[in-house]
Amino acid sequence: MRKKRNARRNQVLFFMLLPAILYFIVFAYIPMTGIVLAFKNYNYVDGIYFSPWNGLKNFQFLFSGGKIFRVAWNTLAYNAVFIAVNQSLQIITAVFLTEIGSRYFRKISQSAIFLPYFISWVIVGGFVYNLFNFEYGSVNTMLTALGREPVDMYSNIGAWKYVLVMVNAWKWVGYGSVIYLAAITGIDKEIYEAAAMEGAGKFRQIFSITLPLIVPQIVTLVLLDVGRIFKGDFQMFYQVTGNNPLLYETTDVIDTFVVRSLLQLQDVGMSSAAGLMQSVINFAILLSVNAVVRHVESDYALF
Amino acid sequence: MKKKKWMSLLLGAALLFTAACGGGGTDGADGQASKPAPEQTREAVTEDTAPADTDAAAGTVDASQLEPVTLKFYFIGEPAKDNGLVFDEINRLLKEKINAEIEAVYLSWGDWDQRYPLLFTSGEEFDMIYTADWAMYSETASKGGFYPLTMEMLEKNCPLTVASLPEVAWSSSAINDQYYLIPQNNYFSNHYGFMLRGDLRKKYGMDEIKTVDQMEEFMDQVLENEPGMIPLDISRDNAEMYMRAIVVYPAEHWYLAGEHTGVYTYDFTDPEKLELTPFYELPGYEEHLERMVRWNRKGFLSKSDLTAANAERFDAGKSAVKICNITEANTAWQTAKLNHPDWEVEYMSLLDDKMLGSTGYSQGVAFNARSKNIDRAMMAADLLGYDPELNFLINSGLPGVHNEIVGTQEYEGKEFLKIKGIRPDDYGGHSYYCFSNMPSIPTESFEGYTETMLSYFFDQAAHHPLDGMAFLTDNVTTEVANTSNVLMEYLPVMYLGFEEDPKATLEEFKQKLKDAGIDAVNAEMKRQAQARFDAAKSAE
Repeated sequence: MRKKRNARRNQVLFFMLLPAILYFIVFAYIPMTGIVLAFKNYNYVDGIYFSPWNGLKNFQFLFSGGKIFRVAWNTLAYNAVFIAVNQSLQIITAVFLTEIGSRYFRKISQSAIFLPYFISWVIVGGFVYNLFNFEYGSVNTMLTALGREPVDMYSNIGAWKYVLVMVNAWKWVGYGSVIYLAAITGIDKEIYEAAAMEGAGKFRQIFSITLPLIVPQIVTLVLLDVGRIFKGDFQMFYQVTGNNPLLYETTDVIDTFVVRSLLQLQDVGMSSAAGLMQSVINFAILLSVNAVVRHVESDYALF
Repeated sequence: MKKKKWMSLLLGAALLFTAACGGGGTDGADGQASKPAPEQTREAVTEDTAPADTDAAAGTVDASQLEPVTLKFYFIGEPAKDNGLVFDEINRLLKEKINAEIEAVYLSWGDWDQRYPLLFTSGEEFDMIYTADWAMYSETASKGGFYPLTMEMLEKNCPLTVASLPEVAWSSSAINDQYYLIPQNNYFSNHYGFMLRGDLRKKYGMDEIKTVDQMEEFMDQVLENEPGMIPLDISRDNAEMYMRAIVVYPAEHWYLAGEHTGVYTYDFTDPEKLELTPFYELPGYEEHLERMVRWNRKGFLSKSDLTAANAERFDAGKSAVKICNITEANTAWQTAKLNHPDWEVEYMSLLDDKMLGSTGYSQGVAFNARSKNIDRAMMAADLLGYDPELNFLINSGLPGVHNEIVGTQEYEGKEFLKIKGIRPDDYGGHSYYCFSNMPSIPTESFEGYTETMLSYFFDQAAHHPLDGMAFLTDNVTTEVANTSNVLMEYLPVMYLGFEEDPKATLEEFKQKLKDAGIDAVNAEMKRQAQARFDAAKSAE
């Protein structure tokens, strides 16, 4: 009875929710049935649902080559570092931006930091190549002008870890800091005024007021990133390294590995199998991290 | 609390959505289930469009009795600026002859390989598409993407093509004994040579360059005397072609089922013999790897070439040697004549006394299995291939605007068009070559171009039953995935000479291939090659 009354009372709210529900049914739940592709020997005539079943054969190539452990480790490690570096830089940027006095200077620097988000990885790949090209690259031109030895970045396997982390941060910090900026703007100004009256300096205010009050946002954003931890950003790893085989040792992630394996075969069943495996592992990791968060502080958990 | 539940539901949904989108190209539900089976559509359509009372042979069709149709034709490549004008003229003629127009659509070189399979998975409505052994032919045909053609359909709609092509063109391009392709009348023989800067060679007082060793001496000179030049125009994507030019072609071998699948090559010189050799066991292979390491260390190439997919240094005047086939050498000569009259582009052939193999009938036009205008599409393909006026348009653009016929030349009983370029670069850029059925002769080129070209394509050409074989990967998909991975990881490094110790790397490469299952791939390739070979023998 009470439930019914509840539903009637919130009629308008439910009505407002309807487009979102429809959206997810049409664009998420119905396409999701396409998961069956991972277990099918796909052909164009029978389509996704009527192609013959294939058991677990589509998954075999992932494990029989022996490379899956290297690429899985690379994927996890890169994403873990990306989360740590990007989130910290985003918080620091947001805090600093709010502390900037001049409104114009703040707006301009915010836009400048945001800009890389709009630049596609293909273009970034071009930047990086022009920086590090051995003969004509800007870095080596500068080094030789200063009387130093030129460096050969493309045979320096270890250096790319840092390049990738830096480029990734450059691209995402502006975008991520906007969310924190909004959270910080939402903090009650009276708290700062009270703290200032008690004699708290800028840094004391940041550490004792700003940061503690945006912890829920931090936890949410980190959890959302953790939900993608087993998926490599294909465009980034492929374009920034220029798909250079000498660098695979440290730059090969699951997604680049799968593309390389299937480029000749063009088998959608096998690529779906790889995607499904990644999604299932991501889902499991997200569930467990979320469970830990809920255990520690139930209000911060996603669900 | 309630709000939070909804949040979690939405979040769960979002997560699963990503799961569904997981593999490349799986998103977007396929409407297949609700569509009638292609079989039924086909029959219905054939009855509709083919008037039973007319002789449907192209050229004698009464265009006014046919419904007007627009045929959507997918090409690979980027159109040049006048392509629209040329297709207007083509459509004017097609309209007269078969009451049809072609709408050309282009898949750009950058992402054609991703968009091509999507055209078939998404159920896109189109009629004709370019295909080749390197452009998804067997992959699409074996998955049912192409319209199966019968000999009756071909005889009815494509009489000119049937009359011009030899029997073997059909049998050798069939997949599982079924025709899907109207092949180009292939005259091309596989070969590579090198284009080099004759002006520099003369500057160093060197004689004509005829061997790879002399080429190395030439590049030593370039390195010493031309600061800022990187002698060799090579990159990750064409490094394999250098190996092919120096090792595979001079050994008179060619890749079984194209350069991208497996490791087998076959000896094409004797059509009575079936002999398969992995490319890394051909004579001179190891020596080539050592050569590339030496060239790399000398500085004949850039330390960044393993990253660049395309170097394009020769055209920019920064390199003195580049791999090419003879037609490309001619193009380079024509371009240099306009832009760098001082260059003297020369062509070096390593294959003067060798036999040259053939890719067979492995490129052409195929039709979408869902096409509603199959008959008209086939007629259009027939006319574009063999109607002299239309064929000139699709290959060379508007007469008098892009190219011009200035005469004909006889060579061993065959007649070739002599063509003068006016603004040849303003038309083309797309894969029109599925209609290129005869080589043409330029009015002017480097010394010996016409003789070498005709000798390559007609005197030195060899044919073998395995030419243009399509390899069906169904039984060994896992092994093909794993071995392609190894090939893509090792070959660019070895062919550009970036490894420390070529011998050790070659051993490691062979071991990795073995671990990845190359033996199973080889056994399957051998089985299919034997079957094709036996079928060809018994047909004789």
